[in-house]
Amino acid sequence: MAADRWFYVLRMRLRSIVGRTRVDQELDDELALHVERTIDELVRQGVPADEARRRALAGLGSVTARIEECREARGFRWARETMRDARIACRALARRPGFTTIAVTVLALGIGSTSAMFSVVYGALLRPLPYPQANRLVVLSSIQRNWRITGVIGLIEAHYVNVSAHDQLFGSVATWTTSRSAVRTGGEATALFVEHVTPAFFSVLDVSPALGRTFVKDDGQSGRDAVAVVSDHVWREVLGGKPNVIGASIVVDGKSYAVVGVMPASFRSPQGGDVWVPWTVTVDPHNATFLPVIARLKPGISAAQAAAEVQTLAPRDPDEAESDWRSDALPLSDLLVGPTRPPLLIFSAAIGLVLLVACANAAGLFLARGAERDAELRIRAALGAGRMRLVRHLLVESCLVALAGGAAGVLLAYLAVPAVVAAGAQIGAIPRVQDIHVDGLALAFTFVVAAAVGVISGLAPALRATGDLRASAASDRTTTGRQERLRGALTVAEIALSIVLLTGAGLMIRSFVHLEHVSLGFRPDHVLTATLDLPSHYDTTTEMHAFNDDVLDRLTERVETSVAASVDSLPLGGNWRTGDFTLDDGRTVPAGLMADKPLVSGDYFRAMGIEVLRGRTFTRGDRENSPGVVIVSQSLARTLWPDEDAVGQRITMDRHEHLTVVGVVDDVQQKGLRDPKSKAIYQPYAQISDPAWLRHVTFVVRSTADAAVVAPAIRDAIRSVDADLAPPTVMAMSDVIVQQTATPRFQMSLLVAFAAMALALTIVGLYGVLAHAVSRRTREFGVRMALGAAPRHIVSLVLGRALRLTVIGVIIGTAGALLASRVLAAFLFDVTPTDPITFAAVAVLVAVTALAAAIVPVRRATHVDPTTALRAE
Amino acid sequence: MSKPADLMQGTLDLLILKILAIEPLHGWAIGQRLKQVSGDVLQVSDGSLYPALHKLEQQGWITAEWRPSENNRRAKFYALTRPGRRQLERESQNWTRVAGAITHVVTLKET
Repeated sequence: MAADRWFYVLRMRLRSIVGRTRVDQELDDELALHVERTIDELVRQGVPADEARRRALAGLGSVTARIEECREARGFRWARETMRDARIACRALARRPGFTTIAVTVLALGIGSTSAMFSVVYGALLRPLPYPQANRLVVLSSIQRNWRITGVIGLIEAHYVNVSAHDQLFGSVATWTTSRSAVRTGGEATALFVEHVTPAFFSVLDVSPALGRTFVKDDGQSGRDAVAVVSDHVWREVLGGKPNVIGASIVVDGKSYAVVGVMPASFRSPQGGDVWVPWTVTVDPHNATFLPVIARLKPGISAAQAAAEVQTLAPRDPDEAESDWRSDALPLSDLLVGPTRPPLLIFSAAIGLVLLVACANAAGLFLARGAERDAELRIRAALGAGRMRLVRHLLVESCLVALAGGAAGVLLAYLAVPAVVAAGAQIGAIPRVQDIHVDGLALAFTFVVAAAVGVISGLAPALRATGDLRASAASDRTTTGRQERLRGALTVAEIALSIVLLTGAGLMIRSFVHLEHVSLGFRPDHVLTATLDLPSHYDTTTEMHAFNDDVLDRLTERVETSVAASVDSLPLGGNWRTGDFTLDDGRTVPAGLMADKPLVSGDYFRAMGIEVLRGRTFTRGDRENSPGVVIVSQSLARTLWPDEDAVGQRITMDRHEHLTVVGVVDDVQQKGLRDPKSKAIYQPYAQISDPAWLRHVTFVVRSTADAAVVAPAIRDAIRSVDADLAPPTVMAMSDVIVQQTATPRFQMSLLVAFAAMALALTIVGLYGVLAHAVSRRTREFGVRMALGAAPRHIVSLVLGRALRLTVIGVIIGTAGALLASRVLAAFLFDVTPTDPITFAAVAVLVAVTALAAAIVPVRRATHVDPTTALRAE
Repeated sequence: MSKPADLMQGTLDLLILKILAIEPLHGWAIGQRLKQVSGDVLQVSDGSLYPALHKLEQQGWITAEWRPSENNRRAKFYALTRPGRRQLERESQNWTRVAGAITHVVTLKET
């Protein structure tokens, strides 16, 4: 049946159930109108009024009968019977609170976690972004093909300038850069997220300000007034929320701007800025940075067409072909979602498995319930109830349980989602958190899932229970035998699904443990770091070196027993610069060998606890005008000079020629814990001549004093050198490392939670099967014992069944896990997706818990008293 | 042909669908229109018209709406739904085929 017809049919069915009085009233009206019109017509033909009335009514026959026929046609009987089934089912469920509680709880877990996951995935990945016609917004990205980078990259400055000059071909473009800046309106400076945007930024997003204006074309050009637009939050919290704010002055990184506009509270910039200032993109011939670029496509222009335009505008060297570049126009959400999509999809799949386990579990419960009601069903069948009628009756009951489970599940999701989202958002594992709510859509989704679960988990048991009701009581044993087999199969399915989930969780745990034990190459204990960006009014290296030296001096003065140093790219801090170099002795560097190039001050190695293996470290004697020196890491020294002493060798790189190697230090984990240790060339801070490289700086302080004392001292020291700076981000080095492991930890915790849920459900299921089997066979066990069977025989009967189910489940589950675990490959560190230790551990864990689940039923079986058991019938 | 009542029922449904394909009408007007266009040959009994309408509505082929009729009394107007239009096409093709076959059979020369 076509989908659009279902829509009409469902609407009518719903009306038959909920709008009965109204429908009846309408029927009366309709027939009354008919009679009236017929009379009118007859009178017009000259029939006397009385006679006309008589004929009109006669034409209809019995009005009551007609009404009844119409009601019948509207499916009132169907509605009435379903309502009656529901009432009976409610009473039946209320009489069995134990069964009802367990079934509802099981389904609440399954459905609740599913709807929680739905809310997260829908909000993070699917919900339209909060801009008008958000589907017309794309991010432009273009890279050279041979750069092995994935994800949304953006455009380099030169490319952006080309594209924005020709954007009328496909739409309009804007870009931005962000900074964490000191924002002041008089008193204390607060650190805020400032976005430096091209003037078209707001018009591309198609948003209007709540007060004042946004930027116009010439804003940001030299000679124009410095203007700024602020968020609703900044307007209320920093500027006092007064309506006459337009024209007020706001100081960003020491520079004063006039506020020209306030954005509405509902507005969120894609990457979440607080203050916007206009910006013009300039091209530096020596350096290229990727900018995020958004574009609003003109009507009728597809993303592919826009990408093609961008492709033709790629800046190229004369010897490059256009095909050396690859350009994309991707949905704006890709910029925000980025690498968080694959794990979210994996979690969804895992939750799907949990839901299946819950369904199998509930089906087992319904099956037992159907067996329990065998007598009742037989009577109803004998009285003439058709099989479909009985199946429907049982399905109404399972659907009621599932809907109750769904209701409880929504409550669960409502409580769980904010907590999980908060934890995930903090570490960037869940994007677009503002868009994630348990809302009407999630409710509708849950309702549909619950109804489906009700039917799916109830159907097989209902068919089973109504299978051979008309057969004689003699077939009783085979019926229950088949029921037992079906329950056994369901348990095997649960065990298998749990194995898949447990294996995934186990692999994540192993991987995480490996990650935690990566040797760092430095000692993070007792190290505090303070990171800041020097604002643009520091524009010479001399000023920057002076600032750096001053801060280091004050830090050593003010903080007890400390070693202080500075570095431009903290290990594992998410920042690094990599590049090539040449050897002065004429040999060539191995092809593709690149080195990380951290810039450090003299005491850096002592402060970070990096071992100096040969030679010396930098000193204050290594100044701008003294001979250039570098320190290399051990692995680089081994690669370049396997048989010679590295100290004394000379290299040339960037704008620095003939640098002498003065020392060799241990290798350090620079980029990420999963990456190999970096081959590094350290340069002294004081010998760097490009101010751009010194702008981002981290001060590293090793001190045995309490962090609670040291952290404020560091802030004070920096403020005492320059009070206009945004307060630095102060973090313990150990927390910098925790940031690295936070996402894997979060992913692992979620998978472990899901697997634990599945295992718990499985154990309940297995216990249910065994307990039910034991209670059914009480009499048999009694007879066996009366005839001389030892308790161990009984034990082996029950345990044998438990073992059989477990072994089959483990085998199927392990096979499934072998197929499924490869989706985790990208998230694993130092563990293969088929890691035998994990697989073995999971199998043992499941076997042991399965046997634990068998203990109570086994005890009950062996404690059967033959005399009571035999009398029981 | 073993259930002539069904055939009759099906025929009435087809006629109603066809009438409503031309324009939305209320129940009384449907009966009148049918009588009129068939030259008084087809006359549906008032008793069977309404149950048929409600059944068609229940099946999703037609949909109903209350609005003022030509003499300003509120009446229940029935209209064809999109699935109903498809159903009409199917049924009328079917009817043409069957009717043609029956005509062919009853006009066989008895020699």
